[in-house]
Amino acid sequence: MKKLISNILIFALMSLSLCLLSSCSDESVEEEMGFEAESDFFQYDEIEWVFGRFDVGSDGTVYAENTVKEYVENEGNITVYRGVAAYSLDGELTEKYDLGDYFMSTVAYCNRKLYLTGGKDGSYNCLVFSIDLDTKEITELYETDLSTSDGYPLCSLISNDSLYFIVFDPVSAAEVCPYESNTFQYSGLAVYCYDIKTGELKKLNIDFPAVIGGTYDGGICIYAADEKGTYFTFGENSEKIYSDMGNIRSFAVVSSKNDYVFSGISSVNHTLNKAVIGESGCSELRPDVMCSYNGIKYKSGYTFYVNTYNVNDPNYTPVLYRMKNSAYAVENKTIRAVSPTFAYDEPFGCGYKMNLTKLTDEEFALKVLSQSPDYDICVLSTRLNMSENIRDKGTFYPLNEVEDVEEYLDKCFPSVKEAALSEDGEIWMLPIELDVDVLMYNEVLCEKYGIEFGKDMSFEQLIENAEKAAKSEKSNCYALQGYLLNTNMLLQFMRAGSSFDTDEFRSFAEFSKERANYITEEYPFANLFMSQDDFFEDKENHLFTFSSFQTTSEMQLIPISDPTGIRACPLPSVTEDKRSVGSCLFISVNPTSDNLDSVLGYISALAEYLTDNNPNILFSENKFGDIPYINDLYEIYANSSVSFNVSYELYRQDYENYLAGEVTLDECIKEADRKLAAYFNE
Amino acid sequence: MKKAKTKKGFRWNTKCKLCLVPSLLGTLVFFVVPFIRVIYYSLIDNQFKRNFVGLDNYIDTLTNDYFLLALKNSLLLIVICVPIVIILSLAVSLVLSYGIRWVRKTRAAFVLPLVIPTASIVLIWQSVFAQDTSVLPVYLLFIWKNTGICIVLLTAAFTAIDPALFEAARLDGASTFTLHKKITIPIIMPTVFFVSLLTIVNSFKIFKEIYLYYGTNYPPDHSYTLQYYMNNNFLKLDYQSLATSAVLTSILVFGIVMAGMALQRRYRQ
Amino acid sequence: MKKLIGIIFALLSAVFVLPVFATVFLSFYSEGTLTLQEYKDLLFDCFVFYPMFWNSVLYAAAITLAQLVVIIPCAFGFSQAKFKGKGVLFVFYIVLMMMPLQVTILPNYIGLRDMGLINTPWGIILPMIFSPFGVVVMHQYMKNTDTSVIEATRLETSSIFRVIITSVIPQLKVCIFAVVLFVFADCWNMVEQPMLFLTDDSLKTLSVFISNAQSYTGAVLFPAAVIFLMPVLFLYLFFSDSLEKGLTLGELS
Repeated sequence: MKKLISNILIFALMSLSLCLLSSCSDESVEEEMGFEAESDFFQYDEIEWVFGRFDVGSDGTVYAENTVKEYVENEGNITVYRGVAAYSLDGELTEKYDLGDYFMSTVAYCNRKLYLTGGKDGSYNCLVFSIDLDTKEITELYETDLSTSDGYPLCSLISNDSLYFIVFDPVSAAEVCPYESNTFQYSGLAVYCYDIKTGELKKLNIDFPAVIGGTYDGGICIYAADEKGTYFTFGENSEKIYSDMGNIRSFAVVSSKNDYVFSGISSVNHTLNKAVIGESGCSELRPDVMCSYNGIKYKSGYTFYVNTYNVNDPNYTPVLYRMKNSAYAVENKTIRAVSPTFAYDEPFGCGYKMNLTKLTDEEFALKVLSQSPDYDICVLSTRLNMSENIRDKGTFYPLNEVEDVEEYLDKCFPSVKEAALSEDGEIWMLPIELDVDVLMYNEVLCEKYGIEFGKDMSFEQLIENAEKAAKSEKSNCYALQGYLLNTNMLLQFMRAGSSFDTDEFRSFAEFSKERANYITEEYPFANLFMSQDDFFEDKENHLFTFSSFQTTSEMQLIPISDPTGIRACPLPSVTEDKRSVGSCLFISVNPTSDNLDSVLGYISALAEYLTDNNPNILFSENKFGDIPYINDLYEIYANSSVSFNVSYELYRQDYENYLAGEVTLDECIKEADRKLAAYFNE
Repeated sequence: MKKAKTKKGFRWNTKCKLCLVPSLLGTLVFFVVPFIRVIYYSLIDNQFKRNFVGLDNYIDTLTNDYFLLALKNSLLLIVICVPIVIILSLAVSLVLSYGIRWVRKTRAAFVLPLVIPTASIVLIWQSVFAQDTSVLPVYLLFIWKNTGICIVLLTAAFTAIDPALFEAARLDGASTFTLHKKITIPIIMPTVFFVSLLTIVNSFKIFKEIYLYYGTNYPPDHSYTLQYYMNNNFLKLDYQSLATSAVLTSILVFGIVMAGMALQRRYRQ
Repeated sequence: MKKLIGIIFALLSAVFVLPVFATVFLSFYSEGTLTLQEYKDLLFDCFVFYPMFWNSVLYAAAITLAQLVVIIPCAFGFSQAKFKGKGVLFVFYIVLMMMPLQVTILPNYIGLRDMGLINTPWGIILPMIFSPFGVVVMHQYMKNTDTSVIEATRLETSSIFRVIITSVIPQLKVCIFAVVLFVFADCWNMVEQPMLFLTDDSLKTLSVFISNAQSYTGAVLFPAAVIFLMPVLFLYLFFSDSLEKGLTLGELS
């Protein structure tokens, strides 16, 4: 008995010491420390011009490039100090590490050392070097054959004691990628792996990689392409998960279920998204975000990302943010949104998992009429003739009882609120955007050239102004898109009644054919499409332009720093009803959806988000300030009415045939009226 | 003995009836049940509120100008085109069956309209009839497409007539006229009726061709058929008009078929 | 006289064949010259074409074969079984046959959705198998079968399948060919059902491809149309000799 006990004791002691020994000698065990920050969302104000040159340590410390530049006469900005700095969870700079002759392109943290890629003064090759955080010593680890003139490594990360980085490689670039699409082009990159322990560098055997991202457990995920398309893979010989994400620049895998956070670059909405690799639909976490290479890192439940959006603003520098994932992503059953093919924008997801599918008209009608429970919301614009039918046939879930919606509507312009209420007072849709066509003009410049522009301009006067502008020296400095202009006029007539057989229309049409005929192009004004940006950027040389303020963010609305002289006025009205014509983008909830709880939660969240952020001109209260053209815009919008369009095929072709001279005015009116009568009376 | 025969006869009858079961079941599930659903939808006011309104929808549809226009156009199509198709296919089949040898080889050509896809045909039709604003292109398209099957079926019927019958009748001294009247026509008649039925069925199905030809949901008044009325209401989410017009059309079709069968029975006597 | 008929006939068949020839010609004609460019665009660049083609073949073949299994016994039953209301039932079949698509699509969609068959091939195949068209046609031809042969077979065996297979089918071989041809052509041409009941592009058929031909790069409409009409044409040519032997119909009742 005694012998047994002593044997057991010895055995226990031996195994214990063995464990201790192994833990001491094994240097590659990563410090498994997580961290908790106080705030769910934090902005690192102290870090400037960070782009992708940062990484996060296991305790939440951010290591970012810290350079000082000085403006020198005749030479521009030159760098006088190069280094890396450590920032705490509160954003305070805690430590500086001098780089000396080296400069960095990426940095990665591992075990109290920073591994950087970059170059050195005097060297023409890309280097790998490290800084010991405790001794602040720089050690050059490897000199690659890659020339710095081809470019520096774009992103790097540490996984399994190796530093992986992706960089332009002339050998790889010479190969032709078998897959290229509208959204994906191969840039000649290759993935390299530097083994820290052995000091060897090797190129990974993955063809056509585009970007690498870290995973939540210290692994690596590579986004590449082959002939079947773009895919994600977790290693050289791992399974490929095909997913067409276009040209994403940075991402990080955040869970074992293949959730990943990425920044959408090619979509209309610039958002920070979370999705599952290979599955459709995603949650939009933050609006107005665009990350560059190496711009997203994930550690311990937090996503660190650099937002480079709005680099247009010369005073804007990319900012690093820290976001707690659980606070912004909602775990919900995916909200399925459908939309007929021509809706333009998508509403912000507010962290809810969403999946938008585009359908043809027949498919949409079928889904609605069959009371399908398999779609939750539909995103429509009042420009589409389907929208009125939804209201009239009652295929909506009334939003009166949903939190925040009623307050939201009360804040909107009265015309929008009116459009959102059905005859019985039910709120049948949640409006997201109001889009009214306006004319932007430079008051000072117009006066100089004797052009009278303004609110009570008639259509004839507008055309005369265009003719005057054409004859002036600024002949190329205005834009009136004939198609859009006429569309707006026609919409005004449609709003007035259901027949074109009015004197007003006749006089408008005759004048249009003679002086503003965009079909035969015998009109004096240039049919250019000038973007708002062009108009604002070159103010001195632009007289006026047709503009439609489809705003999705504050930044689009006020892109200019010097708004003097810029004014806005409504399009001329050609009917007795003097209000401007507007269209509304809205969401309507499917009453037979089987996921109503999530959907109504989303509607509330969206209403709250739009109320707090107010990104569009939708509320009657002007939040952008007392700037003349902004005041004009608000006035125009307040005086607009939302029009529910009928299908263009009912009258557009006939009008254009008349302009082309193929039919007489009477024939045109007769034909259009015939079709309209059929549409309304079927 | 007789009892045994009846029993066997009874079992035989049951077996025959059982043969019908798979088809009946399938038709019930995929055709009859939808049809009953359609009738139900025609009696309510709205897909979503489901209030029973009885025959109000029918009154609305029957007094709707556009429904009546569509009905008129569809009936016109039948009344004008079907006889033309029949006569044309009869003439062609006659030639194919009794005419010149080499002509028979061209039989395959007449099947082509049946198999060619609509989209390519429409393009060609549009370029040929670009100037025409009457209803002629539509009629011609219909005739062109449907004569094919009729020719195939009629020719097959003609060639099935046993020449021996003719020999026998000729020996009896009958003239060519009586020959045809007494032999050919009775044998051909059922096929003619059947082919007319097929063509009428197809006239209810023709929509895609006209739609692609005009490229719009609102064609000129003369081409506005029932299917347009139905399709437009479908796109406007107004299923009630669709349902009522469907039921009314089926009643109409029922009438046509009964009339056809009565005609055939009378003819037989 | 014969010559005149011959000329008229030649003109007539030309009218019938001309659009087809035009399609074939246009498939080889691109930008002013005769070229195979359009075929290249279709066969090499348009990857969705192949699965759609095979889907068309698969669906049409499956539907045709299954229809035969269903409608031959059914038509047989109609002609042999004696029960009240047979005539009314048959008229009902004819009425169902006439329903335009716009009417049946919504209830069909709801029914298929409740059965969970949306976006599966069965959603397309099953409804078409039970299409009344085949029953009506087959029944008409079956009326003309020689009942004596049936009686004779009945004396030998009581299995109804054997009766059908040995006595009825040989007589109706020609008719079966005709029905196969019509049913196959019907399924081959269907467009609305695949477009609305199938959401995956990989399950859709060639007819859908052609109606959406504008959305693919290159001028692929005409080559696709030519390839489209070939299978049915081959089927017809395959059966044409048999069809020449002729078929007669019983009366419509």
